[in-house]
Amino acid sequence: MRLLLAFAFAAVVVLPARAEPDFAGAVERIINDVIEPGYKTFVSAAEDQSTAMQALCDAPSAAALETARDRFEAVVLAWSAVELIRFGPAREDNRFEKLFYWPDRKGRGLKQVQAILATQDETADVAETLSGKSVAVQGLPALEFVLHGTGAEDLAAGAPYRCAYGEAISSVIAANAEALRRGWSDDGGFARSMRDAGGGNALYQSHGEVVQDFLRAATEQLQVVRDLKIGSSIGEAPEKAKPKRAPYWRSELTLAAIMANLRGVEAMMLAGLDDLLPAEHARYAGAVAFELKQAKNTLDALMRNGGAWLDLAAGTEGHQKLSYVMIPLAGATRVIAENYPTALGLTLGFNSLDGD
Amino acid sequence: MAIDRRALLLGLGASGALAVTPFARAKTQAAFVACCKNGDGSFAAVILDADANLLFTEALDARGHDAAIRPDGEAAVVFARRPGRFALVLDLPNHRRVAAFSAPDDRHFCGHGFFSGDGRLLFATENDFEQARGVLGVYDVAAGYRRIGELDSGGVGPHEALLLRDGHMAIIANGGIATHPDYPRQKLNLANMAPSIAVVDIVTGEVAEIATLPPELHQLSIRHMAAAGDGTIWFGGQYEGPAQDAVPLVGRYRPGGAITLIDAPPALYRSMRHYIGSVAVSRDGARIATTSPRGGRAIIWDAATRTPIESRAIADVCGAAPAANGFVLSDGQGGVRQPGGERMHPLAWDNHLTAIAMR
Repeated sequence: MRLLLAFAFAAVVVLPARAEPDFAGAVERIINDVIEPGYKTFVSAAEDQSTAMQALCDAPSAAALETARDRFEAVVLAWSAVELIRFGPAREDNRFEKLFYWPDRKGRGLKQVQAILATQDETADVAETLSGKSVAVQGLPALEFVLHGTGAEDLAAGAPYRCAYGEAISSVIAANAEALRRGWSDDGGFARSMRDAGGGNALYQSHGEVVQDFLRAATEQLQVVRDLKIGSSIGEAPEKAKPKRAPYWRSELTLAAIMANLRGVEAMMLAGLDDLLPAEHARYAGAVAFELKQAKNTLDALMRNGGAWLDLAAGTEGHQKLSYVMIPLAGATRVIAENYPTALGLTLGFNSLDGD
Repeated sequence: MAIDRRALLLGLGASGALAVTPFARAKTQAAFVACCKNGDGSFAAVILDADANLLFTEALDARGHDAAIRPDGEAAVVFARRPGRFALVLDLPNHRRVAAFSAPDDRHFCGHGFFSGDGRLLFATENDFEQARGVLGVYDVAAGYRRIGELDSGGVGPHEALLLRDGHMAIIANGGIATHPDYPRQKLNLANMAPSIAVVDIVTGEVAEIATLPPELHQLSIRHMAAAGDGTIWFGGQYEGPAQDAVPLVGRYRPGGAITLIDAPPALYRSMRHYIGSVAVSRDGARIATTSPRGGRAIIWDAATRTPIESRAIADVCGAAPAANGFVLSDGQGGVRQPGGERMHPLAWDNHLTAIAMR
């Protein structure tokens, strides 16, 4: 017995420590394969949107309005795919809020947009001065109201002020998109701090810390989709639904944008995080993929059925399906927030994780 | 159920090792109150003695935050963590829970509060979330903690609040961040947040002063404070701006004056990762402790020279309270450290550790 114990003890000591996962490689892949191309797509969609708004203002027509709205859809989807990156250049100069001021509690931002349109504010239809105004009046929700809110149909026949304001918003969006892209690609910028993680680095002491931020980004995006975009909008029962809390209901892009949010999370997991899992925990990757697929399948079916978001969220069947979507989203969140960090040796402390 | 004799012996041995002669007196003197997360994921409020032995544990439905100690040292009110609405009252000499109450439906607690000098009223920082404004809820202790009114906190997102020694003026840290329970813990106004320290007359409700930060620091959420022996208020902030910004996190304020930020080597502030979770003052009022769980750092400052005098690395440290000689620090791994020694408990200490002997 004593011998056996001694042997067991020796075996533990002799076993080589498992090599740390290749965090640096994952960081490199996520920056190169997800973040940089994601922002590049966003910049190009934003520029196309800006061009389409200009064309609409120069020669208003139903077709030009249609094109501007199509471009809006493209820019919303491109943004939604990178919406999970809430740190780095997105935090500088309040760019995240400037691009996506949401949630808009009590429609405060909406009221500012409406006031601009009502008073034909001369500082709002020029990009240079618009960018210095409230974050609520220069991003995607503001542009959505211009293109899809009350009075938007006038744009086809020519509504010079409204169109000029929309054009200014689209220029500001394009400029902020470009600033984000540059912020990630500039040598010496934020991406550099991530790549050069280590002692002496002011932001990241190790590549593991960078990976923690990516895991947190994925978790937060799933929580935002589940609790804020879906849960808060549909409420506990159809009659308690407040579907206008969801973003992009005016343009009927709510579900499409949520799908893009989930694809953004998937892309980050696939590009770098899944490969880090040691073999005995590889099933976590499969679990997240499975849960996200369940959620996406249901959302996809809802989209294919058509119907307005407002009816969907407050209708019996739509409410039921959206409630169902929240279950796999919670599952995926739990695996990414709890199982991944443990498997990767990156568990955050109780207080560091979520203090107050 | 058969009791395994060996387990019984082990259990006795373990409790014997933990408790310092619990039979000598009727009840061991309570010294600290804290909240924690247990190993099984459940939450609790705990009374500890001066050696950090657990004297009493009360299960909580959800995560708790800080406690207010009545000036006579005989009662503590433990508040829910925001956006929670429960509060419970602990009888400190007798180690038991005696009452519970809630914030009204249209308010939630922000996790902190204090008693009036005579112990008759309790003031709790609360969020009037529909109006996005902070209030101090006022509770009548003798009437079973009935809420009898509220005062304006002088800002948005109030967090820690304390009573000045005059017994008349409250100092409130308004973190400046708007939140709403419809969007749990989502920060709704990062772009235009405006933190402040407000001085509020608890008798008249008048907001006597509102001290703000320079514009470039408007994203430094002022959340935790302690009053130094010289009457100045030391505060610790949580910075919501870009991660690469080098900003001071500690400042001081004297009612009637302006907020000044404390100069310290950039590396020292950097080690706190833009996040201070607790601020405490030593019993002699001469030293201030600031903790950063994110940086795994506790930094002690000299209140007179306004310089850092000690920097300790402790993983996930957050709770800080005055001890007989220096500070007691608690962490998310269950550790309680003080000059006399170190204890480990199989649980995670939550953000705050509150000393009973001294407010």
